Amino acid sequence: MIGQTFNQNRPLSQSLDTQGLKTKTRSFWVPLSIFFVITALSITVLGPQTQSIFDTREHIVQLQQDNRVLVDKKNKLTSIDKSLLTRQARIAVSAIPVESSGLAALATVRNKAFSSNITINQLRVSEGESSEKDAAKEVRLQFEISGSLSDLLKFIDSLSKAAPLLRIASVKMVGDGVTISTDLEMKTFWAELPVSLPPLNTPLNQVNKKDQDLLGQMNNLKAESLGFVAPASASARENPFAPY
Amino acid sequence: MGINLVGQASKKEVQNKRLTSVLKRTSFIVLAVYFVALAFVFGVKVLFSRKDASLVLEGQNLAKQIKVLSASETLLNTVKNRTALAGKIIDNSPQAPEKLLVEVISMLPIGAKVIQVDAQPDNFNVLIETPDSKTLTQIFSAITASQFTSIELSSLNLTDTGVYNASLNIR
Repeated sequence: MIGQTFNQNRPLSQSLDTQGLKTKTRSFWVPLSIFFVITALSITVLGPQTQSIFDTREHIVQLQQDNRVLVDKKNKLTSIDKSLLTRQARIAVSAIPVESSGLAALATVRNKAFSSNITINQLRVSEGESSEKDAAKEVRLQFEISGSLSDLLKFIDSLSKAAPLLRIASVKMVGDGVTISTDLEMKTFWAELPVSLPPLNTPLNQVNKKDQDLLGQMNNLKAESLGFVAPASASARENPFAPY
Repeated sequence: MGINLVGQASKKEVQNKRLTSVLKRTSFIVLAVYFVALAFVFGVKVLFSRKDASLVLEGQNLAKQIKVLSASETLLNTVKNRTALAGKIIDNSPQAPEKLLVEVISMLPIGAKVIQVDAQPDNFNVLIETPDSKTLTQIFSAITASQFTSIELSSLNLTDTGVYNASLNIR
């Protein structure tokens, strides 16, 4: 009997508990729903939007920086004396030509030797190898010259003041005190012009004091004219290709 | 024994209702604040986007203006390129062979002769002939008083003809 009563009462107590739980939790439904809405909105909307704001802010800072550089670049380019810059570029390209400077250097050596009473006995020109990618390319000039010591010194000094840029690699002199025979090895340089401008947002590098000094040194270099080769005298034969 | 639960239940119900009302009100206030914050975020986002767009436009205009001045920039680039190359080539050090040669020869007194010179960037050797020891001493005095960092007498010969041959390595 007792067992029966117990069994009969069990479903009743369960139904009362469920009812009570529902009543108790009903008051939390709205706050919980709002919490879920806020959480969902935070994940789907607020989070990405906030991140996007931070990204945009970073982009804005970068753009402001870039624009400052561009404004500075524009102002500098506007204030540049174009005619002075053209002259400087001409001087610089004359010192380090755009094409192989071997021929121009030969003309210089020949003219300087002539004006210094120096005899050139042998002359060799060879393309050197540059180890660095952006370095100037070398042309090596080797020649034997003879003359008095003072003339040789004058000749060497005049070469160091000639365009294109000539550097002495080695000097080997042998003499009797009067006439000196010298093996002279020199280097001359050339380089192609830069093919592209630096990126737009790169700050403009203006000509500084060091560049001015170098340009001053390059300006003191005197270029020799290549001159002309005298045409061969005409053959006495009417048709030089005809058989004898 | 009978237990009256009705009175207690009403009290609880009233309390629950109150709690529910407070919770509901608070939740709606929080939601409203959240929406205001959301609106603020959207507002900031719109402002930043506008600012970003205006800066992009400004940058594009500046780029156009700079492109117009590209001829000047090309010239400047050429000059900078050449001076950078020249800076590596031009050796302003006193160790340059031709400078050492001129300096050593300018020190020689009358009577001294240069017999042989081997001048390279890292090595400078000169063979000098002097008619007597006095001239040789003068040369040594002049060279030691100069600014050379290293002077080495590699050989000194007195020939049958009475002249001195001195070989010097100078740096």
